[in-house]
Amino acid sequence: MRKVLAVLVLAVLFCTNVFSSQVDMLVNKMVDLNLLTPGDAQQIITETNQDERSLIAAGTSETLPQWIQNMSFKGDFRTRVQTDWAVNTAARTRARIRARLGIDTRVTDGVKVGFGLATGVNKTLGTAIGSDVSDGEPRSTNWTLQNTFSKAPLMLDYGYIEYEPVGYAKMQIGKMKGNPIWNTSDILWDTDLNLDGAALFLTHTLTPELSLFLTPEFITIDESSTDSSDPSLFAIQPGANWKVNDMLNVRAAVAYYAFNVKDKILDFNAGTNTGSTTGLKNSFEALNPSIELTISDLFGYSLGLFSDYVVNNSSGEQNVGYAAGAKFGFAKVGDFGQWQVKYLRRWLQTDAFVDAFPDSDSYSGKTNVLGDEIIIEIGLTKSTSLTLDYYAMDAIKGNSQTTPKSLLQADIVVKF
Amino acid sequence: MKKSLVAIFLATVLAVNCFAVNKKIVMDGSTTVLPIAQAAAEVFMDANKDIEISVRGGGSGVGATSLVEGTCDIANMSRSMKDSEIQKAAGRGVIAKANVVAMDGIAVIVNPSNTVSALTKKQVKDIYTGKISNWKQIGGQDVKIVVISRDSASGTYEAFGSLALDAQKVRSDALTMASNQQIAVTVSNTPGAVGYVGLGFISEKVKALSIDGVIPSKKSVLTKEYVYSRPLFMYTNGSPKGDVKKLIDFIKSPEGQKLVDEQGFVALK
Repeated sequence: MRKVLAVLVLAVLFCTNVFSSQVDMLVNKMVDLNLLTPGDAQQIITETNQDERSLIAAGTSETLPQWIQNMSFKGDFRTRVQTDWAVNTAARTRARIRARLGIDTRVTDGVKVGFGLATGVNKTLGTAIGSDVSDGEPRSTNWTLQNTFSKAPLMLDYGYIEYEPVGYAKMQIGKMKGNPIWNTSDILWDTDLNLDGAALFLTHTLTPELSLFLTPEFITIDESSTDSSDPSLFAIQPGANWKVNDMLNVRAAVAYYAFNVKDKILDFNAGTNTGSTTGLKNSFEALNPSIELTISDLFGYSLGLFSDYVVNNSSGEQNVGYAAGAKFGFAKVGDFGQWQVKYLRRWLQTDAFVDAFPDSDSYSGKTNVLGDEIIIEIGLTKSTSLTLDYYAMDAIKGNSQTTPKSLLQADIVVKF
Repeated sequence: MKKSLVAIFLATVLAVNCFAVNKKIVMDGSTTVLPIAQAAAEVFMDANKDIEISVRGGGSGVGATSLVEGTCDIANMSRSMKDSEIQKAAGRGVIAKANVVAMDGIAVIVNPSNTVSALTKKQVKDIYTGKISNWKQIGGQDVKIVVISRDSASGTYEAFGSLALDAQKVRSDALTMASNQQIAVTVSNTPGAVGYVGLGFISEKVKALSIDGVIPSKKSVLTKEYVYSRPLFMYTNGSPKGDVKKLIDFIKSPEGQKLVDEQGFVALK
């Protein structure tokens, strides 16, 4: 009789939509009543729990609505206080916020759509009432608290389709998240920039320790109704990742950029390239090698050494730049008491790279700059951190009495 | 004429046999599950001459990657698949199906000359995270503790990290070994050493400690009375079918579970 009862209960469990916690309770009760052995109970409980995880990941679980199973959400909120200093200029202190929300949804096998919203500054296109508005600062998602409690605009930060037919090839198209080209620093590309266009991500594993990657991309920079040759970029980056041993990892790559920007004036340029405001003199055909060494355990902490270098071959002078630095501490700050210190030295000549793209906090994103940056990040909770970021910058060619500038940012970031 | 026909017939049979391909099952992954997989494969192939089974190690992480990429039929794992692995699998149309084939306990072992026979969970955590460095701090001899751990690709390392260390980092001066066997040998040769291994790797050359008053044994692991207990998995892409199903069913059968027992793990039946 007991065996019959056990079989009937198990049949009910597997034929109805019961939550795994209910399964655990019922199965444990059956062990107490000697209807099941502990071994069978472990098997049923464990396999049921694992099966539910797989079904949810595949979007076929019957215990959760379909739309939840296929979607993943993440975002963060940042509050910032920053102060700018410059010679003969009053210090400027601003309170700023940033909100970001991203949604990924798996449409079908191998196809994903991702889009994200973020705060920013908008600008009005035209002077007529009701003119369209657009992003006023592509290199920033900050909103300064000002204008008598004005509300912050929320914009589409990125939106793309991703297709991954096989494990070694992935394609993205749209307004992609970040820059598909890998760099160790933001000397060339501000981290708030989300590039428009298409990119292919190819990887190949030679051995468990050595893998290769190749990333070609085509980026549209602007669109003009009067010019059939719109500003654009073709870039390609071959690279390799080498896990030398359990402690040491090396990643290296060389990016080749072929910009179509000669004689053009780009929106949001910093005004420092030759011809920025009248028509760029150079076409910016640049080579950019990057390398990063990571030692995962040095006295219990992680040490990273990194460098980016760039040379613009289409210009014969003022065409070189580099960033080099180190970071020490926890590889990733993700809990109370964890910390990381990072130092970066940067040097970017006038025509080394297009001045519409470098880190906007570094001397307002200009070229013809040199300076040091130090960042200290401290974990406050599992999802909250405090960051202090200090820039001491100057112009490479300028009046050293009046050109130095400093910037200090204090951030609290909460991720979810 | 008759001779020609017989010759043609024999030649055809020979040709067919030459081109006949043995069915193949590939198992990848955990070094903990490896002895069970190898023992079961040997017996199964004896009874099924047309099936060839290849068993490879490399760690649970390797097994999971292999299943997702379609380069193995069965991923042997001494831990459950991570959320990221399950998501990646789902994205490739692979539904990771967990098949529990045995239970295992992770035993904390010391050299037989060590006078310490019991530790609490907190003491194990403190030893492995660097807070305790000498056996005398926990009632033992005045000997420096030589801490031994597994490499990060190992499921035993992941399971120990989550069951014993609350995901905290192992101390930086811990020696890292690539397999349970290496840990057992090193501990047996090093008086002040402490290590952790699957239950199947306990022998008379090492001493297994009781944790929170419970000795790691088959009974205490099956009932989960022993705190460092874990299931051992053979993951497949969806419910097992065909020859893979035959193999998994065999391992779960009383005969297969006898092999599990013989390898020093805890049989489910």
